[in-house]
Amino acid sequence: MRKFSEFNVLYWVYRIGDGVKISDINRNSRRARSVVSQLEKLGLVKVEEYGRLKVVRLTTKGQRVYEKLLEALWELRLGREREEQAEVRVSRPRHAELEAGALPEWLVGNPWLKVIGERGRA
Amino acid sequence: MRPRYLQVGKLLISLTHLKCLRREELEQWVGAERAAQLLAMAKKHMVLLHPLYAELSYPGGRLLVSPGLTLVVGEEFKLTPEPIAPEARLDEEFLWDLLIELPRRLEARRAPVLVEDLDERFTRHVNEGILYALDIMERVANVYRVPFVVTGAARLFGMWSWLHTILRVYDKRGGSLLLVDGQPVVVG
Repeated sequence: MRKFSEFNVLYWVYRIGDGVKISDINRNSRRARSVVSQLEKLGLVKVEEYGRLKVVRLTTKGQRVYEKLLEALWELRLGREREEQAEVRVSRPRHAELEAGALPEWLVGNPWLKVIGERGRA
Repeated sequence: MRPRYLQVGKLLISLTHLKCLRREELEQWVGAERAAQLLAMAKKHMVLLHPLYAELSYPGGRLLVSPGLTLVVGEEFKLTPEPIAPEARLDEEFLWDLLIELPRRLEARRAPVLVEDLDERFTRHVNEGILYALDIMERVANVYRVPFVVTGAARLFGMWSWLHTILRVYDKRGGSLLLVDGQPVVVG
C-alpha cells in the first residue's frame, strides 16, 4: 500500500474515534491490517483483543489529534451554517420538513405519549 | 464544543437533545408551528460524537457492546466503563427521566446506560410503557451513540429488535444454557 498522506491519517483518526472493530476499517482484512499497522507506527492507535474480536482504539496521542479534528470540523460547520443562512435569505424561504406518518405503530394511540405531552406542558 | 440550547416550552434543550424528540412530543409541548421550526433546526444540526463502546463481562466471557439496545435476561454481568442509570423508577417519572434528564446527563458525561427491570417499571399500560421506553432509548442511543443495556424478564426478548442479547434459559429439569446473540456459550 502506498504511504499515508496527512489527510489519510486525519481521516482514519476521525473514523476510529473512540474505537472500531478492525473489520469496520475495511472488509478486506489485509487492507485493514495495513491501515492499522501504519497508524500504530505513528503511535496513534492500539489494538485490543476481545476473544476473536479485535478493536482498534486511539492512543492518548491519537485522542489529542481527534479532539483537534473535531474542533476544526465544528468551526467549519459553524461557518457553513452562516453561509447557508445567507443564501437562503436571498433565494427562497426555508420550509420546515415534517415526516408524515413517521410514528411507529407502537406509539399510535399510546397513552404514555399523551401523559408525556401533559408533563411537558406543565 | 459548547452545545447550543433552545427554549422548548418551559424546557431548555440542546440541539443534540432536540434530535432525540419526536414531532408528536414536541407538538404537544409547543404547538405544531413551533415544533416544525424546532425540527428543522434539529435536522440541520450535525452531531459530532464518536461511538462509545462498553465491555459487558458475564460468567464465562465478555461482549463488546456497540451503541444501541442490548438485552440481558437472568444473568449477572459487569459493565465497564461505569454505567449511568435513570434515577426515576416508575411510570411517567421514568419515561420523563429517559427522555429529558438522561440526555442532559449524557451531555455532561457520556457513558453506557443501564436500565434494570424494564418490565417492572410500569403500574399501568405496561406493554405500551415498555415499548415507549424502548423507543426513547433507541432514539437517545442513536443520537448520543452510547450503548444501552436493559435487563428484565424473558418476554422483553420478543418486544424489540435488540442489537445484542444475553439470555439464560432453563429446561424442565432445571438445567440452564446461556445464549449470547442466540449462540450457546459453554461456561467453564
